[in-house]
Amino acid sequence: MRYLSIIFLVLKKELKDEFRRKEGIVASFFFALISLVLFHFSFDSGVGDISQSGAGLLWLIILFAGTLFIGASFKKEEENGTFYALLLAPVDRGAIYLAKFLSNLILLTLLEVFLLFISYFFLNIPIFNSPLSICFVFLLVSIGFSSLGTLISALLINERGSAVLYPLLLYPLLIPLFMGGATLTNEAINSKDIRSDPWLHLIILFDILFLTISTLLFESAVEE
Amino acid sequence: MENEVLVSCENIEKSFGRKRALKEVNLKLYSNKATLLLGHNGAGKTTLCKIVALLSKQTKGNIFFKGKQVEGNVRNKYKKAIGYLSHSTFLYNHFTAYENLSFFSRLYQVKDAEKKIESLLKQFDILKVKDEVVKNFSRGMQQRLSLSRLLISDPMILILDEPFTGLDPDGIRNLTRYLSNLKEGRAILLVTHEIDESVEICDEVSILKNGEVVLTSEFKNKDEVTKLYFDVQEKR
Amino acid sequence: MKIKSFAMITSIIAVILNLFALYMVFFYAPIEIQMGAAQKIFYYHVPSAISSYIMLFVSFLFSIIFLVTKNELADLWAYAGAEVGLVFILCVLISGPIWGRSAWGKWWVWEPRLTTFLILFLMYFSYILLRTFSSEEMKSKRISAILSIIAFLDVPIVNRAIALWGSVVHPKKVALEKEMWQTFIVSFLAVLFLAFSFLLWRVYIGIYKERKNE
Repeated sequence: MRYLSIIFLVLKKELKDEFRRKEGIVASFFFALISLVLFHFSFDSGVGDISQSGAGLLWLIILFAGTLFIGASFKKEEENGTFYALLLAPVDRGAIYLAKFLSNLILLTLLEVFLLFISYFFLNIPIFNSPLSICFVFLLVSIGFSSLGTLISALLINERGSAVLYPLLLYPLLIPLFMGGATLTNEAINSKDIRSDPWLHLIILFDILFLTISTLLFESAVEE
Repeated sequence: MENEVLVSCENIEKSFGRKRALKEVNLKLYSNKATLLLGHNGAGKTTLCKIVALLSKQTKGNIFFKGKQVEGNVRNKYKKAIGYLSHSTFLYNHFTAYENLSFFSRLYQVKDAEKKIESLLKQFDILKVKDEVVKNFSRGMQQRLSLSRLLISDPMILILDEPFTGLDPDGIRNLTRYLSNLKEGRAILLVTHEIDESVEICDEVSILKNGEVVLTSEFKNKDEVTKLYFDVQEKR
Repeated sequence: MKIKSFAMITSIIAVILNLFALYMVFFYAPIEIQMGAAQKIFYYHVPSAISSYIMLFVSFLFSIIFLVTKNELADLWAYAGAEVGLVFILCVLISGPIWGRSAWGKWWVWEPRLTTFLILFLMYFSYILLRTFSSEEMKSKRISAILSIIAFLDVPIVNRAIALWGSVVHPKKVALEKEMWQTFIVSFLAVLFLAFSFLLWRVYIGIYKERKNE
């Protein structure tokens, strides 16, 4: 119970903080919009129909735009040393990780809803063909992204050049996840049944594995 | 006043790679007593503070809290008893004074939090601005709020790692005044280079040299501390 | 110095085995009909791939040991494993396209196993980058250990993902002749010993460097 209430407490603090400082959210939403427009112009010269190859594109945008706030989720605690304040508290450190993970997951979800909406609006990507499958796929991929993204962000706290190192460390690890995300989204857009798709199992495996491992490793990631 | 041993560090060692930052450090913190920790830059003062506060893990040695080894169940009790202050304020810039205290009071499971927050805000004269966000505060106000945050969990052990850094003379004087009031019932470990001020607070000095506690002694005035310090540094 | 003599012995065995393997590759094993002489790369390509996996496993194992014990030596082994692993991943990535050129007529084909190694290369190159650029020595050891653990656990997932995604079919299993098998086993041992000698030397150099820094 105590564990859950700590997760909830830190999660609440995290979201409140994120919405007050705004920079992470605004930057990532705006980045998503810009990228979409840019992609439109780089594809429109007649190569193909963007609504057909759109899924991979969407995931690329989510990866880059999500990095803007997930990468900073521990970095921002360097300010005033609040990171130490969290570690000093008599709470299980795994709970701090899970709270940050959930906060990033919620923000990612908001970003994705926004992105799906504008991609439907501007590019006519048929997201409403099978909305349930799409939601499911997006949630599963976001869990994996947020779990590793949050851990790597914690690893790089108080590190010079962390902004540069962060994507270099994270992106290669996420390749299988995003391959699966793109494939499944494409199938969902084309109204295929994804329930027994091996990709789905792979992504679920990825989520469970890395969420568990990250929670376990977090303690040794932050203890000096 | 009775002096109970609250924290006892036994044979603490810490190495970073092959470099040994701390070597067989023994340190006791007593209630109602403030210990001044002196030493060159790089002597291992901050490392020791972090280990005592469980921010860093020692390579060897044990920490005891009221005679019990800090592990398992004792760990959380001990963490609850620790208050840590450095030149960082440990405050969330985008939260109001009240929200900051409220968050930390819940993190520490403080009972009667409302009342306590109110009284701390009053005590440190920031009740009027309790609903303003911290980033608009002056340095002095931030420092006072930071002290309230430190005291919200009513810690028995205070680890103060260079709390004076970055303060102007007024700030230093005020902080000294507040800190000297905190001694009652508490154990304090103070790391600083401001010998003038710390003499007012502390009753005992420990000197770290190259990761070893080379001397622990009570003192009466500033000259005595300075003499002890330079004697130690000259000795090879 | 124990490790130095171990490294010495492994190196000597590796050199002898390699000379032997090279002889077998060029003069003993028959030339494959379809691909011709280029097929002979196979004798070093596949062993390099297996050896790199083994080295990454060494890195994974010692990373766990390091996190648990904080023993510096374990970190040296973990680092050495990743570094030598990366070298052999590079060997795979270089020898692969040479083979591919004769098999498919293109340098790079997004062939599943080759692609896996490309991703492995990216993952472990970033590990080396982290160690090189990180500001605090002790901290970088800790976080690179965590990275090594995660990266290694990611390997089977990457493997599976590439297999699911792969549109180009891997060359069907060619039935090897007896001479080919014999050659393969010798060259496999040769590369494996080479990898271990690299590993031991790398650990030795690490120990030597730290001594010198003291």
